Amino acid sequence: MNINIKKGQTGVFDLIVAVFIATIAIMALALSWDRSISKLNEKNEINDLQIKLYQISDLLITSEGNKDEWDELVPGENPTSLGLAKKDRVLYKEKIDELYNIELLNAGEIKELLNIEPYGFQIVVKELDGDVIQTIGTNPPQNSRVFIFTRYASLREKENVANPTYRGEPVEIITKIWKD
Amino acid sequence: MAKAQASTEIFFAIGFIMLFFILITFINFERSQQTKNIDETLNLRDKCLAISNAVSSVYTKGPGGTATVNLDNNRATFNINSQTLMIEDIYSCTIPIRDFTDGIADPLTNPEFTIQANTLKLQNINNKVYINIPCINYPISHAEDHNTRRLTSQLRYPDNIDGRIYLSRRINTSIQDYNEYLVDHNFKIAMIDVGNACTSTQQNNILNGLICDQITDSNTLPTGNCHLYKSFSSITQPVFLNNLNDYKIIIIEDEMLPDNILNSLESWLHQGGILIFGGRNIALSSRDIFGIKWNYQKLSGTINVINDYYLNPDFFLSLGGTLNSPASWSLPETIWATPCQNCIPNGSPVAVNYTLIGKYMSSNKDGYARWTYGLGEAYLFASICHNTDKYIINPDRYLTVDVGNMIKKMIGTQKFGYINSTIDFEPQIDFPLTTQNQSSIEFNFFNVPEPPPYSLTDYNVKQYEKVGNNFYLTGNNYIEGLHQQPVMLNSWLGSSINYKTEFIVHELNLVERYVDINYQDLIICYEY
Repeated sequence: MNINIKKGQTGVFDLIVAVFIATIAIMALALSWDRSISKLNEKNEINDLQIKLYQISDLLITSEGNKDEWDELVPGENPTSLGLAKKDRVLYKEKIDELYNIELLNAGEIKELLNIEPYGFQIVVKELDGDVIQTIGTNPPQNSRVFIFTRYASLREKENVANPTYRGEPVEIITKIWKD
Repeated sequence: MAKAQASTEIFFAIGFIMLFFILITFINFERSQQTKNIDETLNLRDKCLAISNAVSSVYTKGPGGTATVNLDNNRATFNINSQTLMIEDIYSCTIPIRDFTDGIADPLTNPEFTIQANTLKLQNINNKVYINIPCINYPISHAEDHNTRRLTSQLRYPDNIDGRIYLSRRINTSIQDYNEYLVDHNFKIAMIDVGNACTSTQQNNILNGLICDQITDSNTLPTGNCHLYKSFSSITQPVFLNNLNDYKIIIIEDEMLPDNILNSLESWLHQGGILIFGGRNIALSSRDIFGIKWNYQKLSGTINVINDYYLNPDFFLSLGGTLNSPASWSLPETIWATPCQNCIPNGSPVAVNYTLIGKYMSSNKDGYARWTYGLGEAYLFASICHNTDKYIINPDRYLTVDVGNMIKKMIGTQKFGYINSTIDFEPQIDFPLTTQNQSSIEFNFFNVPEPPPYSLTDYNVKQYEKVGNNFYLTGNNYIEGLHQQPVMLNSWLGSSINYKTEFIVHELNLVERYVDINYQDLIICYEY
């Protein structure tokens, strides 16, 4: 009879141990799951940022903006969309300079127009030999994760400019975006 | 007692196991739900980003850019001011531009719009992205008229410029039944041969195939569209002058006509008639009439076609012979000719473009000639129906037959012009598109002649669609003034649509006709 009682106790004990181990395993699985979800969300966020970066870069380099001569708008009039191009991948120096002025006068306006308020951004226009033509926006903070997209275009000045410096020279446009 | 203890432990164990499995089931359910939510969110995220990208991409492509994105019947809410897009009120993403609309929404009064559809169709019109507007306007990429003059920019929409095409003369050579054609186009011809200078064979040659009614003194209203005046009394009856303005062509052979008729004929010619005058005298003495000086001279001999005729052939008159072997006729009779050398008319207006066709070899006088007078044209032959109108070199050919053929050409004369348009077009073949009524090419045309006295059938617009290398008739309409003409297109395959719009005026006179075309863009409506 004692033997029987001992067998029953052993069975329950085994069960408790097994359930304990299983619970730990399930908890570990749940933690791992949550971590995966967190990583997935982080990855999505990075992807979103990269897509935004690509969209902004493409918009600036291939479109004229609206109105197309938005760099000549009188004070009080604002462009509805930004674009630095005269035509696809041919940029106007005047539009780049005007974008720089807008950034100087109202740092949030460009972000608002591009709908990237939560993020930091910078556009650097460089000659191919590395000389910087214009830098729009602030430098990214030291430890932030910065996404960079580099594209090439030609740069020119408007037809009415006498002795233009740029007549279609190739330039590098580096667009940077980061989470503030 | 021991058995009872064992049972309690077993119940406890079973209960514990059940509790455990319930917990596991709950966790599993919760995780499944989470997985489902993640899957759904990722799916919506993909859609949101795809739409955002498409809006941005269509905008940067510039005017004419299009894109299609699957929405799978989800609900997409766009906000222009916040530049956001929300899918099913669950996933939101941003759009880097503000220049998008559904055609109704605008940033000031109505910045938000929602679309629920299987597909979104985006197109850039004047640097604004239109989302799921039912009809798309495809601008013309190339247009030129029948003189290969480019009119692309004038025909594009929207603009305030008309493309103007001037109609040119051409001859319809495919008329099956000339009598029917005369009736259809209210085209009347008269031949005056009071002195019966033409034999019946010669008359049949001139009016070949035409059923002509001889006008008698008792006729008050001539029937048919070809009238023969073969007696002096018939020509002097009011019936001739009363119907004069209905005639498009009058052939006169060897007649001396009274002044009132000559003056009426001159006025009729000036207003656009065609006079074919053959031989002998026109009046008893030299006079200025029909824009030239008719000299009263008596000549006979051989008439030769001059070189210039072969170098610059006449639009209507085709004579035989060549530059090296010109056509010639021997006129054995004494013929009263009406040459017009150094013609200086006293009156005004005067003949324009007087062109010598054939001359008397012996006297160097003009035997055959043509000129224009006002809106009309005159052809002069020293004689059409002299005893033998055979060619000297080619005796099987007759001048009367040539004149008959000339009259046929005149009957078939049209003023004609067309616009040949090409539209770069990428059909959205996944969606039903309307080819009737809603899909239309629109144009306005102006300055068409006022009917009556002309028949409506005198003015046509024909539309053709080019498939492969052939043009297929898609519309044939009578026109009556200002128009917007729907066009039926049958072939939606390929990367472009090519269609031709012809404008035809069945008119013989020299009135300049032109068509002003406002725009010819192609509007295609889809069902998404």
